[in-house]
Amino acid sequence: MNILRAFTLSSLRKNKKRTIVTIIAIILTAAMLTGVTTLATSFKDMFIRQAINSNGNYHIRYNYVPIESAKYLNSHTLVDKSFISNTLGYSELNINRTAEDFLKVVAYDDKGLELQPIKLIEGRLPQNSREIIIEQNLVDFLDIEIGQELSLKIGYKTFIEETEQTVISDIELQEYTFEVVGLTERNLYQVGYSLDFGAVTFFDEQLHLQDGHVEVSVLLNNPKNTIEKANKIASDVKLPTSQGFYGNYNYFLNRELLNWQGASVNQAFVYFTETAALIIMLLVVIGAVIVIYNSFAISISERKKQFGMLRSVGATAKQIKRTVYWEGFVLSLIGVPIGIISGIFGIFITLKVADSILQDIFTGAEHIYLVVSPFAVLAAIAFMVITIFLSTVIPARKAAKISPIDAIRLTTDITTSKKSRSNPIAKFLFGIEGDIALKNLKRNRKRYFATILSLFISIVLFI
Amino acid sequence: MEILRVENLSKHYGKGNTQVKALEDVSLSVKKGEFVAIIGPSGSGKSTLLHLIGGVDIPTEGKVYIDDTNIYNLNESSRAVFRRRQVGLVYQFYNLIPILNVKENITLPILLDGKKVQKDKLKEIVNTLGIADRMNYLPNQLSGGQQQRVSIGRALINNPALLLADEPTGNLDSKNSEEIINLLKMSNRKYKQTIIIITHDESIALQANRVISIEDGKIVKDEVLRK
Ligand SMILES: Nc1ncnc2c1ncn2[C@@H]1O[C@H](COP(=O)(O)OP(=O)(O)O)[C@@H](O)[C@H]1O
Ligand SMILES: [Mg+2]
Repeated sequence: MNILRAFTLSSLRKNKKRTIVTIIAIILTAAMLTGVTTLATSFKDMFIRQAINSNGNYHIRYNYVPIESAKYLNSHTLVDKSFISNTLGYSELNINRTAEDFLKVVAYDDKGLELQPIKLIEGRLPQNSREIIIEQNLVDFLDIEIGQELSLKIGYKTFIEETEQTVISDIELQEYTFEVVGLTERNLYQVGYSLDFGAVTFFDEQLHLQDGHVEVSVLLNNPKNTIEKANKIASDVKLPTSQGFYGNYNYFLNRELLNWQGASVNQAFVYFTETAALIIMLLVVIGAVIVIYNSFAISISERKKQFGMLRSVGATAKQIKRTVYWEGFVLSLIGVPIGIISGIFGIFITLKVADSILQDIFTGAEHIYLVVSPFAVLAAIAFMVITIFLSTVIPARKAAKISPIDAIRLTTDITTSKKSRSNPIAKFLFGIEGDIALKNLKRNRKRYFATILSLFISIVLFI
Repeated sequence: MEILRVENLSKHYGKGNTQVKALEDVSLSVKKGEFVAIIGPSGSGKSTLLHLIGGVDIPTEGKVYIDDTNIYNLNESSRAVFRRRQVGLVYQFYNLIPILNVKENITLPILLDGKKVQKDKLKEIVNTLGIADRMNYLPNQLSGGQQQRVSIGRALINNPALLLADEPTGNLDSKNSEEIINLLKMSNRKYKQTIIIITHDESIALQANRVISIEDGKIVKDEVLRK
């Protein structure tokens, strides 16, 4: 091994206490950084699942698409996946709840059944247009079981002004008979936060077109710049134009999902989340740099003579500098992996606790799971590299600046050029030990300040 | 053959009233294989001269040629490399690296060059110095005399153009002093090693080929005792 590396390892071994303190600081920093990134990705994951569960798993939903155009949408280069659906309409249930009771029936093609967040409790997905799955909480109301038939009169909701009531209009009322093949959890993605119930059947091109049109839901390869892409896809596929929310085409966006996937239509939202995480990480880095820098500065000043001796036998300034960086590297090699693992473990525990609390408070709340993404870990490592570099760059320069002559003229390692004055009060109150302690405190005032500052920052971070 | 030439070398510390002229317009020339002793009262500038010759300090004025290279024309890092290849320094307080063992301390100048240590050469040196059985010891596990042998080994390992010793026996008892001087004399004879040694001890100075006396930063006497 390179002699200067051997030298570094020996000094690390020799100064066990400081080595351990530095490694602990590195571990804590890496743990906090990984904690922040992992927490962010875990929450993001939860919010994405929540968005999908409550709104559906799509980015753009094109309404009233001619059935011939559907397959062109699916094969567009910007599109990852797409599915076809059509709302058949609503059926009045007359189950005597306080609100109006409607069952919304939607037909999905096979890809839709696969992509939409359907949570089967029992049974299976529908395989043809005669099969249906319903919410489990309807079982009691309708007194129905899997395998039984369900006849529904399906039409459109209309609001009657005189009675101020919503009813299913008699016009175009169609009668369907389904076999119930599965029971699901509440279909939020289908009914939103209304009191309606949801049911899902299999899309059939012969039965379920509306004047030859369907809805096509699209997941983009990359959800960024959604509106631009939505318009481009529509114009490429030559969808009929009509006045829509976002321009000349009739579609809407799954804004909540887009927000959490970082393609916010409302850009400020993305920036806020990312900036908050970034600020916390920068604070961690600042605190860590102060602590780790100090440790290195002390380490260098204690070995001033040794560095000077190395210089006098012909070590170049560059070699000395590299030695200090290498010391940082070695300590990181031990501290960072431990820090990352303990950070992830810490978040794992935190989320377990948070999840059970959230589940207690909000029944049916989305579960939160630990998500360890390579990006989150890499981001933590990148910040760690910056931290170690910032902590060592000045000590490395200082070490390289020590001239051989300084070391030769230095007989001991501690310079005693400046004598600090005795404090008579301290001496009187605490005796000679108190006096010495106070002198030490004065000498290390900067270091104490740094330590206190960093402690303060970490406390603030924790709160 | 001239191996060292010092031209009008000066070193001043501070400015104005408090200025110290540690060295003032010193010129000298040393031939290969010479054993030169520098004597003079304390504070006369001996160490300053030696450090300037060794390239570890920076002169206020003047030039130092080692093997026809003006070492202060080199930049910092080239001078460091030059130093580790061409200059061996021995100090009164040994100045070994406390956390490296004897073998590492001796071979440091070679290892810093990223080169392989020649085993024969190392063996010969440590046998001559009588520290072959101490290779894995740390400096603080050795006596003063032994530590000084290690530092001489370090100075000799690269076959330097110059071996510079600043009161190498100043911290040793008379028996160890004599042995160290004998080692230096032997390397001077055996390897034609050029040596410049600072000493307080007249009896040591008288064993050299040539004695240079310094007072107040100037050479006041330069006599050749033997060829
Ligand atoms: N760093 C320095 N700053 C100021 N004066 C110095 C410094 N180093 C040496 N001197 C002064 O230079 C003079 C010569 O010192 P030095 O070469 O060490 O003498 P010697 O080795 O002959 O005892 C002394 O007066 C000493 O005080
Ligand atoms: Mg001296």
